[in-house]
Amino acid sequence: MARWSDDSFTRALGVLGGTAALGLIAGCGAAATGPGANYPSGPVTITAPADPGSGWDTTARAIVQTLEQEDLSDSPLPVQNRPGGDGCAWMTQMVESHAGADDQIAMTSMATQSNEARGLCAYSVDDVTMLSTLIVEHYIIVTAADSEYETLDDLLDAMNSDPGGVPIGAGGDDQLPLALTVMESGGDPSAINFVSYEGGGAQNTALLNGDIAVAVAGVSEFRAQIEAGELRALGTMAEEPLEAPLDDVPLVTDLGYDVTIANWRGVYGPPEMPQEAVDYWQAKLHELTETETWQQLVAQNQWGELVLGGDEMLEYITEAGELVDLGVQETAGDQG
Amino acid sequence: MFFETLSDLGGGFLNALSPMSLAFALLGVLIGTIVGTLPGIGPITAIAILIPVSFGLDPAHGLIMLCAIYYGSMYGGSISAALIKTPGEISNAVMALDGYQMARRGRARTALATAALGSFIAGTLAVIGLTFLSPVLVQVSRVLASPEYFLLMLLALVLASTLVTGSWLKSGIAVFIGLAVGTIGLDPQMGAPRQTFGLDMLRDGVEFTIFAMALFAVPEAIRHLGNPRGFRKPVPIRKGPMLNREDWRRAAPAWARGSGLGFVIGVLPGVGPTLAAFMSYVMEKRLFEWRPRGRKERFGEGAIEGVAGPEAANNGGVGGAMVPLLSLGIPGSATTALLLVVFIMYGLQPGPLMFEQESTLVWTIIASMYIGNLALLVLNLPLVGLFVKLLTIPPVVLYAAILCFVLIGAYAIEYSLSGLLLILVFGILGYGMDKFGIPLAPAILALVLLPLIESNYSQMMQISGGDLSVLVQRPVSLTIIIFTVVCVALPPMVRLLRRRGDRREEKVEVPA
Amino acid sequence: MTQTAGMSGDVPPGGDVRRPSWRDAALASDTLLGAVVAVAGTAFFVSARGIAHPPQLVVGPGTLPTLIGAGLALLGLALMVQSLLRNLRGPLAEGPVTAGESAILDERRPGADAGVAVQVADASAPAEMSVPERAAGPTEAAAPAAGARRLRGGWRVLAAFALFAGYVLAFIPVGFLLSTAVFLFVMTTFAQPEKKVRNAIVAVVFTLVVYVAFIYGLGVYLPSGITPLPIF
Repeated sequence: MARWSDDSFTRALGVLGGTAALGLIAGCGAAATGPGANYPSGPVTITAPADPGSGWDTTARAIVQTLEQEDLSDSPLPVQNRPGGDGCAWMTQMVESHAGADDQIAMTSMATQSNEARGLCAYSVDDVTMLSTLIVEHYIIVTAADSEYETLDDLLDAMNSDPGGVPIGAGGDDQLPLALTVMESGGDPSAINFVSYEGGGAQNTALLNGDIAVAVAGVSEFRAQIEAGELRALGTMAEEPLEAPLDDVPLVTDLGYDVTIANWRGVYGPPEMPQEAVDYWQAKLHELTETETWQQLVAQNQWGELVLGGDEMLEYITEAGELVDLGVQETAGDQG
Repeated sequence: MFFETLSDLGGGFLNALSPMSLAFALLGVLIGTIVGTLPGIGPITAIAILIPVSFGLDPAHGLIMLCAIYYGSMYGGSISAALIKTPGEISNAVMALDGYQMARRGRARTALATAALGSFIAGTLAVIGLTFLSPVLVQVSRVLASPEYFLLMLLALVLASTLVTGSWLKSGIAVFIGLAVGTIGLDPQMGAPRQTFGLDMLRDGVEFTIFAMALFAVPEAIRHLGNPRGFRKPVPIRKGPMLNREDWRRAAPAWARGSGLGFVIGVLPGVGPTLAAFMSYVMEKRLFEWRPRGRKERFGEGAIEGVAGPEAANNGGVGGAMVPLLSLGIPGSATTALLLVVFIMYGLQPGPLMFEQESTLVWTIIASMYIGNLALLVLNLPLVGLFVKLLTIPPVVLYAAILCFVLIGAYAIEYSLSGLLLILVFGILGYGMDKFGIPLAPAILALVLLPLIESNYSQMMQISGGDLSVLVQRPVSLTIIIFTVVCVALPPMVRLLRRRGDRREEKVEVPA
Repeated sequence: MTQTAGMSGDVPPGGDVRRPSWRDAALASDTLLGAVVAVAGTAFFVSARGIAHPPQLVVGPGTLPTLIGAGLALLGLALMVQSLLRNLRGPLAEGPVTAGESAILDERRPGADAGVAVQVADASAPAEMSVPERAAGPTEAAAPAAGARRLRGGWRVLAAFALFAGYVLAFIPVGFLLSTAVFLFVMTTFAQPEKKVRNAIVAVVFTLVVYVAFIYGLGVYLPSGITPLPIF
């Protein structure tokens, strides 16, 4: 134990946290080392750079839950929440104080790329060691069941003839998919009257009380309301049809607008993470996605699967990053 | 319909009631009370930590435990607010006013028992409300859109400045200080830092709990530690029944009012229990000052109504927040958002269809909430005597320890130096404000309300294209405007009438 | 209690009938407070004006901060003017009061008068405990004896804040165990120097108990800093 005590403060935090979490969850005190394996030799902290209950937090806890229930890991894996700047605060810490460490991994998603595109964060996925993508959240455009917009074309026509008159409920990254769609339809994305809402709950409220007629967000935010017939889905930017019962939601590509974009979510380590640790986590993360526990969690949370590693992953992320850049530029108009 | 609902609820109780579930309820309440007492560590942290543990449990048991944690923490926060002026949760901030004053006067047991009973009564009424009023409230919430929410928040702000008696200018300054602090940090629309004055510690804004701890607890502790001899020993804790007849007579109507008000406000998204508690306090204060005769103390100096009302209201607010969550699948607050995660984890999708598809489980949840509520009373009422022992600790030790707890709490929120520095800076600000007679409570409520004011204002303006006339064109918003004007104009008018009456040496009965 | 006590700073204590001067009025605590608030509000306003406003937003990130800064500045100004007028009129003047104030004066109790507040400095009832502290505004120079005593109290409060500031800064780099134990001992000894042994015991026991409870019971990470023994 004394071995860690003279290390940096945060590293010691990990040790403390590991022990605490272990003491709490498994009911056993001391940190265990993997039998025979060189890595990991101690606890590995998984950081959700957002509040408990958020998407990143849920995913981080799902990873730990799967690894523990399926006996895939002998090391303690404390989850810590470090909200701040939409993930930027923790990514900055990872780059600036954890470079080269092997006991830290964290959650990230497309939000990180859009943070960089908006000039809100100095670091992005290129500055850290991406380990794997795990899931995607597909975007969906919805409207109140009694709205005048029956199809996506109805909506785009209305938006293109009177942009200010069609308020769209979508905050932050959720604006990108519709902006790209409007651009494809020949409209001006910077003219869209976007109204910011904090999360799907607020969007749903606004759709039901008539504040807005249209909203865009991840599928899981609206699924229950669509099924209940309160909302109508106009289209999704997914590549393939969604799973039942939303399998009849039209794909935006099928409607003639070449837009496929989804919010990927994945895991990263600090820059210059030792190769041993990188290999270990890529293998572990892919192994865990094949377990029944994980499949069940994916289904419950209505996530889409996107298990990519290595070059395949980098290619996907780069492509998503380009779309994000384009969307951010176009939405901002001349202002930048 | 009525009997059907009743029998469904009965079925839920049959499912939820077992020795095991009662054990989980008690465990949850215990954990909740402990984490609730500690500032900065709240139900969100506790629930997040226990989610993996509860996953292995039967859904009913898991939900009972998590709901019990929620209720327990709401009560736990009021213990520390009353005894050491350190609100454990932001929704208990009001308890640091009259609750703390009651404790200073040796009535700590009464204050805590009043809070526990109020929580229980409000919880009971909320379950009844949830069972029978959900459909109505859902319809009401559909009439309210951003203009109405914006006006309701403004109304709350206006009422906030009447939280504490005193100079209206200073109350106004307090409100604007809270609003100003609330705008610091990442702006909600663009996500870029603003008003940080180049300081790193302000980048992520100021957490409610940090602000409340810094304003209430730090100045109080420093004042005692800086001048230990100038302060008398606290009044010994009074013996005898926790509540005497007079207490019962005065608390009972306040409990009822607080429960109802809390439940209705809790239904509004995003505000919930905290606003409910503050508004109940305002209401009790107004009622108290309307008919102050025969009461020894003044409001704000240990009036039992100022404890009974708000403490019922924040628990009623928890129940109210369940209405949109269960019947629409829409979480209104961070905690209900987390509960939504828990529901999904158990394979439930809260929403319009849940009552049909998962009716057994839904009624089990509702019954579970009630059991959690009952466990709160069963566990905490007998423990009141133990909690108040805290006050027998020598004040110097107690107040030094409070500073430690405050710092740990601030650290546990963000695990960074920023939170600690904010405690120090706002502790100094709070000391200064208090010294110059600027009330603290309105600033705290204003900070809580600012994000809602800003989001609803910008949504309203974005939708209307910058046209403010929507406010008077909508019938409901117009009604709220009229009500606000009446609220502002009425008290001075009543006072004027009263003074005239006094001059003529005769009582003027003002119709209620 | 907060409000009534705070108001005592408005009126020079002692209740002497000497004619109030501009200087007294300008140095009255509320005048100074109003000035400070007005300056802070203006600074907030100026800073908010500098926030970029994206053209597609009706309400930009700077809209509300601008309004709030302006409101704060105006309220500060109003308080300054009110205090100046009131103090120029003198403590005994019974002139017409503005609508808003009448309410306050109405609810003011005789016990909250400044003169009384000074007298109760040491033997105050629990309810009024903080009155002597709070009444220590800039106007108190008029009552030298009480003023000196209060100044000493002021220094002690300042020292207590300084100790707390030291704790805040040491918490992370030094670590929870050492910084908390030292802070508790120093702070309690500063307040009650005659109980050093009790203070030392309390400091050590409290720190260890809290450490174990938080780390093991609640899973809350506490900084270890240079303090060894992260785990028992």
